[in-house]
Amino acid sequence: MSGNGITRYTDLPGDSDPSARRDPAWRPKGVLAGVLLGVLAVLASGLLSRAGAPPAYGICVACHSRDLLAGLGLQRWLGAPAVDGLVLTTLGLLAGAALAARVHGERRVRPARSPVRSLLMGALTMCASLLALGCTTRLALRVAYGDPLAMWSFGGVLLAAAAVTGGMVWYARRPGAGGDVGC
Amino acid sequence: MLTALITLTVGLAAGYLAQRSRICFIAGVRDWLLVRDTELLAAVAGFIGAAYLAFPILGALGLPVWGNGDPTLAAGAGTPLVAVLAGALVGGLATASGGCPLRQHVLAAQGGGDSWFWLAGFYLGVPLYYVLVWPLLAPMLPH
Repeated sequence: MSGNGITRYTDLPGDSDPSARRDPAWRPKGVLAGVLLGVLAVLASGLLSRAGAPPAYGICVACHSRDLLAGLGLQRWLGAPAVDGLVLTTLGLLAGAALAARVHGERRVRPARSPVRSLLMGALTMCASLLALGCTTRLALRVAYGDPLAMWSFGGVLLAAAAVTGGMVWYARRPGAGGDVGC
Repeated sequence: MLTALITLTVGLAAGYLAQRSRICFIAGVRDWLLVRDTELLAAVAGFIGAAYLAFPILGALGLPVWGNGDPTLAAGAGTPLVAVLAGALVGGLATASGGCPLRQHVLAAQGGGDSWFWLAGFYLGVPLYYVLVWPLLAPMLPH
């Protein structure tokens, strides 16, 4: 879709990602990246199963955060964690991504522009994810697993992503706006 | 101990892969609508397709992939209507934030200041949900 004034990846909302401007040595694109991550998630689901893991649990950013906090002593409020032992996936994610960014020279510290808004969006997203039975990653994994409720949830995710994108384009094109789809 | 080891390793690998590929579960829709770029949408399709095949294949190889009881279900959507609305909320919030929860971890690790605040909110959201949101919401939801 041309004609909306957005021609480069870096013009996209909210994601001023320096890696998009480079062509680094190793960058699995599209389907390959998804396939690798999907197989890894199923493998993790199987490996964690003996520790009590629920179905399609291999990678979930929301559920694993909850179970990390529950494992660290918030059990009384959050209930028992889904698996025995500490769930360190999210810390691994941060470390792995930081390592990749460093190795490929894509680490760039940018100060927060809207801390309060970000904090609020994060908290709301967690609450919505727990209600929707998982973050976007686990919902996709649940869809592959064959969970009908997750198919509804993931359908909602995709529809809302489309709707909000449309809304942001509309907002950027309103009379008097400079075509900046910033948020 | 084993759980910690497995999850840390999986997280490291997934984080590395996610940083290299820029994978995000909502950006596929956004990029396709805005600039007709299908790369990230293809990544999500690849994820679901590969997992769809990997469950039975790894299962047949003897890995117990089918899982046990799920505590997430005890405090989450129980009907399609609630599921689709909650999913829409996740998708809308993530799109307005510029990335799904996985992507926010990657952006934070790359040095994105806003994403660190987003993650702080994300973690604070856990007790908020279990102490306040779910107890208020549960009596109002259909079962």
